[in-house]
Amino acid sequence: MALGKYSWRAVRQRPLRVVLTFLSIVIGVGGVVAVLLATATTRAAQREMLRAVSGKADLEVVSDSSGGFAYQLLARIRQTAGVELAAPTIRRLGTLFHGEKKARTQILGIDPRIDQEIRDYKIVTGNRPATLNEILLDRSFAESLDLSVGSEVKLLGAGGLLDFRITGLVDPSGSTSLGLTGAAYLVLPAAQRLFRLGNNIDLVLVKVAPTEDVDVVAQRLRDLLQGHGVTVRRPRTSSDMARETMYATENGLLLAVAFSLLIASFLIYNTFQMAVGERRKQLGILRAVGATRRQVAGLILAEALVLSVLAAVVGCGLGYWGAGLLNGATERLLQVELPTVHWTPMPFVLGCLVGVVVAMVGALVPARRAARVHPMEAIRDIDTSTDALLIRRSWPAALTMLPLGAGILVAAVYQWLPVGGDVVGIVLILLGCVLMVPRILRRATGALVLAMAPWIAPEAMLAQRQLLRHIGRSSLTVGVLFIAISACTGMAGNILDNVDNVRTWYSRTIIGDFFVRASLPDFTTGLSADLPPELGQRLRQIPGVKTVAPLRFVTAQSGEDSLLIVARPLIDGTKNFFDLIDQAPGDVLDRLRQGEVVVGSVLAERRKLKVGDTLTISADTGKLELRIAGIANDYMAGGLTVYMTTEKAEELLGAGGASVFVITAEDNQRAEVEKRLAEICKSEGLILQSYAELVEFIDSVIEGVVASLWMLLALGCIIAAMGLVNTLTMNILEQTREIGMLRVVAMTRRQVRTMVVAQAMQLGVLGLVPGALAGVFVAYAIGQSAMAVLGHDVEFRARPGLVLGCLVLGLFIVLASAWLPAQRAARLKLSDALHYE
Amino acid sequence: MPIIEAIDVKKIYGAGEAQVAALQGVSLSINKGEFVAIMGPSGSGKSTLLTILGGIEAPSDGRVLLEGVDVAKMGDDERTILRRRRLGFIFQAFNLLPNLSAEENVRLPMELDRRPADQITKRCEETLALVDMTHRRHHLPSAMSGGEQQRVAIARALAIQPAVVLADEPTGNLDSRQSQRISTLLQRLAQENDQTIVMVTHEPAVARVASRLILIRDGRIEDDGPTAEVMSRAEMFTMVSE
Repeated sequence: MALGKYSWRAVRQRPLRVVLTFLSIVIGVGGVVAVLLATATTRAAQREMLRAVSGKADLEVVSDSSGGFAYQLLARIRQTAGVELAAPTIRRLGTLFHGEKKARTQILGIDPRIDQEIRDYKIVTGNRPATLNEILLDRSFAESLDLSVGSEVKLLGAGGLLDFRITGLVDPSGSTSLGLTGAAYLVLPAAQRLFRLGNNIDLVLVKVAPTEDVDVVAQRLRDLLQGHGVTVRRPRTSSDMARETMYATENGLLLAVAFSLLIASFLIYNTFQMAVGERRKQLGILRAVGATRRQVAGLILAEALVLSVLAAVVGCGLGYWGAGLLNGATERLLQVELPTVHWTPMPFVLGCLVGVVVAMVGALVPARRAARVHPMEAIRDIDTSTDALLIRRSWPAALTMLPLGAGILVAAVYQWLPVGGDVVGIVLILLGCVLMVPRILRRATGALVLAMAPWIAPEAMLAQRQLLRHIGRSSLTVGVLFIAISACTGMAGNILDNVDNVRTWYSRTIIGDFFVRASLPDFTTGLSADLPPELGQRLRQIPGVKTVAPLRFVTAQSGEDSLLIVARPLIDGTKNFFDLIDQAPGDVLDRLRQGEVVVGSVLAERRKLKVGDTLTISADTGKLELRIAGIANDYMAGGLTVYMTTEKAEELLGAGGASVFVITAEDNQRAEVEKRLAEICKSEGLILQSYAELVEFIDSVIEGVVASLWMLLALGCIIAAMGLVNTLTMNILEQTREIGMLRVVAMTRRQVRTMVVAQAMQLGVLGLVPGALAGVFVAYAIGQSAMAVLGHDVEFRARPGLVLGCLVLGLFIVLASAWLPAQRAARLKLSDALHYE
Repeated sequence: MPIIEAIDVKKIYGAGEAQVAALQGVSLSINKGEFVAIMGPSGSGKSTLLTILGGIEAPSDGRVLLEGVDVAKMGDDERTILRRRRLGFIFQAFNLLPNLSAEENVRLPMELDRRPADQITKRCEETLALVDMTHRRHHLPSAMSGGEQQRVAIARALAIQPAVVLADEPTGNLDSRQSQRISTLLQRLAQENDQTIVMVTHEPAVARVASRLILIRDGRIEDDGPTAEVMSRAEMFTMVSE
């Protein structure tokens, strides 16, 4: 009871100290909750997006032949344990006619009763098809052909030209908009009739019950369907693309979570160390008047518990609000439409846990220390023994963590560890660096004092002495700054490297001024409907057209992977069509002309293929052996691509015609060519896209990424700044009496301010300069570890501008953070300060 | 001309019913080379008077002239410069910077005043020698006894060659032997260097070393004169013993 009263009096006596301690937990917990909520939301949204793109299916049963497989197998699939839903599908390309207009399109035969449970689209007008001559049509596709509900159209398939009436228009939802654009939906028997498939279907999309393991159900289906000419696999889009697209974000999210946890822990621990450490003398008095060690420790723990629980609750609220901000940033970063913040209890639980546990540890360590020393010793002096202990212990820990982190990072780069291994390695290395600070603090700050000496020698020296007075606290503050800036510059550098990688890819591979296609390509496969064969000739006749290159997309199989084969002519004069990895373009083009192929890096990595190896694929024409001329960085079809010449594709795959025409125009006639192309596309129901539009689209994505990057940087800066303000204000509180004495004997207010700013500058330079350099290393390390998934490292570029910018911004924040504590110190009332305890 | 002059100085703390008049119209004048002790019971206002004489606090009313200049009319920076160059402070709690060595503590006010390095070094050596602390120059305060810390504090106060040294209970935290040593040191400084010293103390034995004694009670000067004379008055002993 008496101790409780003492606690309450201590709180009332030093309200600022309590507020600062409270704020540090609020900021720490808020940061953790915000980042965890945002990452949980992003993960959920990505899963949703990928499920949507692949029709929400967990598995698909596909035919090994072009003729499909018996519909009867569907009943057996549905009866398999763990299968929640099985939707039959026919997926083929056909031609749609409306009056004089015609367009190649993707035709989906579906079971309308259950299809929307497994494929994500919305009927915006009309109804779903119910009879053999009714269809649903993609709304944008319908609009391009001036079609509406009730319009009569014809579809051409292997079964002939059949009449249909449009009963409804659909909008693919969310991210499926690219995957399902341009599709026509028929009831399954109508599609079977259109493509003369009898009672066969092309594939069955399977949704696995949430309680079941997808791999286990897949194996059951394989056992069941063995010998029926089908393959059971995860949908290509939800495995390959997921792995591909999730990689960059997952790694980034893991890094953000790791950094937020680290910074929050540092911040909270540091503040409690200060808050309790400052009361060492009072605790000594308590011990002197009869309080036991247990009572002192209990008192501090109870205070920490109450304060941290209250602050954690406020921090959770702040985190939820902050997550909304981060969510917006992530939407731009990933170019996806995210749902509102995904409520899961885990971020709040973890945030509170970090807040409370770290606060308790941060409070208990100095409390135990104060309780252990002799009461009179505690009353008399500041605690200096802990610094020696800290230096003794942190150095070996640093020397252990650095090689351990480096080892883990190397293992991650060489793919011996799963995604996230690199993050663990990087965090350990950075922690190792922070643990070196106590040992080098004296010399490093000494060097800074020398540098500042010509202008502010005594102030800089006093600042250094104050920092050295609490080596642990100063080291932790340096650590917060170090981690914050290394996270910011590292993630920023890596994101910009990825942006550059995309830019390099499209600048090398997308060579053309205009693109003409029948429907927008499937984002995941690049597939689009075939173009009329005579179109190429018409396009070539347009005045001002320099070249017209038909690109043909064909799917094939290699093991369990679906591949996209891109057939393209090698137009003379163009030296490079690919973003080749470590190869000369000339040599690769020569070998392509000789019938070899270029493969995407993801495919090469997955199949462990090198230049000169042979890739075996299954196509409609049978098994084919393809010799590899080169490996290219590719973002199409998740990098599971095979490039060959048009001639070779016709020879091996019998694939003629074009899926897309890539057109180049004379420089001075682009406008006229575009006008003519637009006329042709309108009359043929085709889609025209200019290179400028494409670049504009990609650049808008990049702008979103860059904007989000600044958002992340801002978050890091805010947390670091708050940490610094807290630390400096605590420092000032503790120095109150000394500052008062200095003011009495010699110091002007300006000199007091200078001394506080010098403290901040020393902390800032020590944390920020090595931190910015470590950020460069982080960016490099993440780029290297991309090899595990992308099949190539993301090319690292030194970005002195970014590093310098972060550094200048960081130092500015340091100075701004120092201003308030400096003002407070300068305005201390001398007579009060001299009697401050 | 007096070096310090206080004219009808009043100091009131708080407001309303909580108002406390620490000084109720104190006037005094101290000449160069005087060693003045101020004595009085706890709460009599002696420390308040010292802080006002030193420009640490402003009087509620009245004037304080230091070398003829009204301290109350100075800005904060001017007062700081005045303290830095013309006043030396010695505190009961020593108030040395714990993370600076003895030498660094002594050098600090001169360094903050941006004096030439050779001058700083010379003054530092002289004053440390004067207080007999040269051999402990590199030690931190935590490694010194109370008496040693106070000698360093005196060296710090003297290093700037102040017009006046203001000492607030300089022996209050020391045992009798150290207390005797410090008071003797102050006496020697006053005699040998013609240094003006104003010292607040509640110890008659320490006050005895001063040439002049001012007795203060309830914020008013009760007696003022040569130490021996004032001390000889029987009333004083009664007052001091309170």
